Amino acid sequence: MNLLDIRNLQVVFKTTTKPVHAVNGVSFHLDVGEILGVVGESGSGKSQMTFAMVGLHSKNAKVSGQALFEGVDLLELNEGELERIRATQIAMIFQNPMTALNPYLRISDQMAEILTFHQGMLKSQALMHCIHMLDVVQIPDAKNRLRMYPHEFSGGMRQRVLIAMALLCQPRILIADEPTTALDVTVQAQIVELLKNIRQEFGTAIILITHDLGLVAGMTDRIVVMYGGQVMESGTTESIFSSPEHPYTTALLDAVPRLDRDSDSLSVIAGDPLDVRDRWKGCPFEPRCEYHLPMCLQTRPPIETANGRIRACHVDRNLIGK
Amino acid sequence: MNLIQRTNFEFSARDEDHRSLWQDALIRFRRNRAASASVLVLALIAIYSIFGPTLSGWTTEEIDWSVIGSVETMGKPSGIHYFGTDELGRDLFTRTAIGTRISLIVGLIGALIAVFVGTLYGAIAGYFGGKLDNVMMRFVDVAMSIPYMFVLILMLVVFGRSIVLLFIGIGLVSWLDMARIVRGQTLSIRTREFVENAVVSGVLPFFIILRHIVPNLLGIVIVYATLLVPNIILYESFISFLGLGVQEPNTSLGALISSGSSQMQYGTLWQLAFPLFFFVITLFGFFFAGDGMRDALDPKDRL
Amino acid sequence: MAFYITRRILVAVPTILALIVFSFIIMYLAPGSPFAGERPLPEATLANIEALYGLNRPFYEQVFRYVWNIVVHFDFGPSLVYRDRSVSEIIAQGFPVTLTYGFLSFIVAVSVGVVLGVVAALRQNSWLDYLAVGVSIGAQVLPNFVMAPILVLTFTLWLGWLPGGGWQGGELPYLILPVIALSTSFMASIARITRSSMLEVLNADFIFTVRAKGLPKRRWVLRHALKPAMLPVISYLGPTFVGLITGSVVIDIYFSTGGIGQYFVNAAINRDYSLIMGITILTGTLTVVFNLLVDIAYAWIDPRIRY
Ligand SMILES: Nc1ncnc2c1ncn2[C@@H]1O[C@H](COP(=O)(O)OP(=O)(O)OP(=O)(O)O)[C@@H](O)[C@H]1O
Ligand SMILES: [Mg+2]
Repeated sequence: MNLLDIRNLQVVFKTTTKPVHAVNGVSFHLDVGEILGVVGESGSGKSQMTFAMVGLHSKNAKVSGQALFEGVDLLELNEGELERIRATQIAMIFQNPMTALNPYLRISDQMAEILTFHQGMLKSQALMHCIHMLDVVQIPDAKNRLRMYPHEFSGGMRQRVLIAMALLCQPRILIADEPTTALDVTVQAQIVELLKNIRQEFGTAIILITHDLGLVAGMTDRIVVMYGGQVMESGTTESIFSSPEHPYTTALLDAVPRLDRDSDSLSVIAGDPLDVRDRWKGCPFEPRCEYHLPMCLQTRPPIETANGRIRACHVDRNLIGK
Repeated sequence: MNLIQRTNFEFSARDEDHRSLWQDALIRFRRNRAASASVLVLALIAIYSIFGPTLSGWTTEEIDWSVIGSVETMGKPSGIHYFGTDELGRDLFTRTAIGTRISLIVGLIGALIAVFVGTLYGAIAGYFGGKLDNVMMRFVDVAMSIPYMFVLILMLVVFGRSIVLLFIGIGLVSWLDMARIVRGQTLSIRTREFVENAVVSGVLPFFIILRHIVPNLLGIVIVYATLLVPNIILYESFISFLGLGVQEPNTSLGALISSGSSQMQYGTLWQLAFPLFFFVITLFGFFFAGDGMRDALDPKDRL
Repeated sequence: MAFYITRRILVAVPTILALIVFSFIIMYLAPGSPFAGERPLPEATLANIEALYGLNRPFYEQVFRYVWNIVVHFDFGPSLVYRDRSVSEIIAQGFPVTLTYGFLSFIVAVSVGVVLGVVAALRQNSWLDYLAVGVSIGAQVLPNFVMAPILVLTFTLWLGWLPGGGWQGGELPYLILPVIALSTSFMASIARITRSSMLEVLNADFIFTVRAKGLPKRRWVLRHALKPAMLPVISYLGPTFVGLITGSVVIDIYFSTGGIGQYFVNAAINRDYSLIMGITILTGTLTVVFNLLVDIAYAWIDPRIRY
């Protein structure tokens, strides 16, 4: 059994105008101790998908499908049951460490409350644990740092605090939603190292959400490529990079800067990013796809599964990237 | 590292195309039913305040001797006195119209003064920034922490109670909020490209403020001016309620409410009811119109 | 924090002095002698008073003397209308009354307003929310001088439940109408501010982190959302205080409580300068002190501004 099995997940937002189909039938799975990368540009529904899994979606969202965590469908659980799973089984860290911490409470209070609530620890005992966790994420002088307020930490330090906070109850899954986007490049690398170590040390499975293929290349085992709330392609990191089989993936790869290419020929995917308020019958990437066929406009591409890879595209796989 | 294009959604909202911005705002405003209705109601109130005295055929000071002595019965609203009379036998339809007129005038002129002073002050502080800004805003902070109503009354007493001083006084104590808002807005406009260009090409600060900053403040200034009018009407009514504002034979809504409420134990409730009705409706009108404008000009900032 | 408080005090003290000097200058600039009022004083008295104020001295000396008397002796001079009483005596008599119902009104406005606002935000778009929003919009146009007659009309003249004026040493029935009349519009504003700031906090990024920790809603609302949601309310306490002080003038007049406001208006009508100035300076000082406390409370909640 997979640790996490997402089946045909849909998230639709009711708005005053048209409904927004933010996540549109997504399926993937996550194994124990695995690092899975979810890649896609802004607005492709990556965050909403994970929010829906743990019941953090906003009130105007309607979620359907299945999200099986160790065989239990998270979407069927009530609020109280979900609360017990959050932080203890599935923890999350978010994109912007500058705003993710409560600015009005000390770090110690924000961390310790997790342990006192979920594990019934005494405050003093919980604080010891927190110091230990801050050591794990390599925050120097953890004992004193614990008493500080968030604004006294730098962005990278705050992200470490958030990671430490997420790991306090040793969750099975850590969902990291663009954990490095808001940080500068050297700090990014440190956070990536840290996440890798954590998988090593605690065996935590990580879902790493990002725009940045470069980041994914170095640390994930498998990749899911999303566009317009749908999975375009998924497979092992190696296979996706060496032989992309979806036009969107190739476009993404072309957009990554590389040393072996002239720096001003960086390509940007042509066309406007998708507005999810329009829902096509066909493939969401069709308007920007350089391979597009007449049928792409009419029918949604079937999901093909072959040698561990999944893709949704009408174009013959052998034509792509050539 | 992210080289994939981000949504260009944000840019279209900040389009520099002014005409379409205002047209959009107008469309949004019209769609807001409470706001459009308020404008209509305010227009009707204004018409009443201008033509009311002519319609009734009575002047403010004219006394209907036939009702004196039995105002509770003879002074009731009727075909002769549409809103009844006050305890001195003066026609209330006329007096309410005059009172409304005075209140509206005080509100509008007071708001104009406050907007003028506040906009200039805020734009200067925001444009030059630095030490000057610091000192100027510190002063606003200090001035804001003073119960200005007392100071205003002190001034009215010392310099004599006149309606002109009332205008100026209320206007001068109401500009502080305006200055703050305008300053904040100016700070962000300052960094925009067209202002930088003007600075680089050596245009004098005075002209930059007048040509480039103030026109871009127009939206927010109009919204806050609209919300300022009812507040100033409130101040004026407060002072007149205490008998320290507009003097007889002139009157304002506050003075009418005051005399109406002092007469209510004699059963002449219309004396309170009509001025109160116009007071409440006028304030509601301005508040809803102002809210509607804010939503229309800045659709993100609801409530 | 200590540094922050010191800094604030260093601003507050000159503000109060400036207020005193400013009031004095206005009086100094008044056309004619301030004592040549509508009721002419006997020559001898006039000379006495002018000597007392040192009106024949240079301006700076007069200012200094005035400030000195107030700050050191709490002496605003004699009242010009209530001949045999000093301004300080009048204040000592009227002020406790105003303070009593003013304080109660403050408590009512803040506690009811905050509870209403929080509940409305937590149950956005429920009937309770609509009620709170409706009340707060309605009360915008019901300032104290409108509330007072309406309340008296309803509860005194029609229902006969409560006295429409008087004080009686502050017995409960005499307090109810003044407190409601004075607090309603502020209660409504506070409810509106609380509601919108609470809604904003509920949408803040860090609330996501908090919810992802799996704490039950009641717990995280109290622990994480309430404090930041209170910040705009705390900023509004200063204006509320000013509004209550100002409104108390109407209440004192309308309900004949014998409070300070009644003296103030009488003084204004009779051009009793020393009394007007005394009351203006007193309320100004109280306001500045109150704002100082508000600033400290704000800094206590928000660790980022304790510099
Ligand atoms: N409450 C909501 N109501 C309506 N639409 C929403 C709501 N929340 C999110 N959306 C829409 O859902 C879509 C998917 O958003 P999501 O945040 O999942 O994108 P993302 O892939 O995480 O993008 P990013 O990389 O910018 O974080 C977006 O177009 C967004 O506008
Ligand atoms: Mg996201």
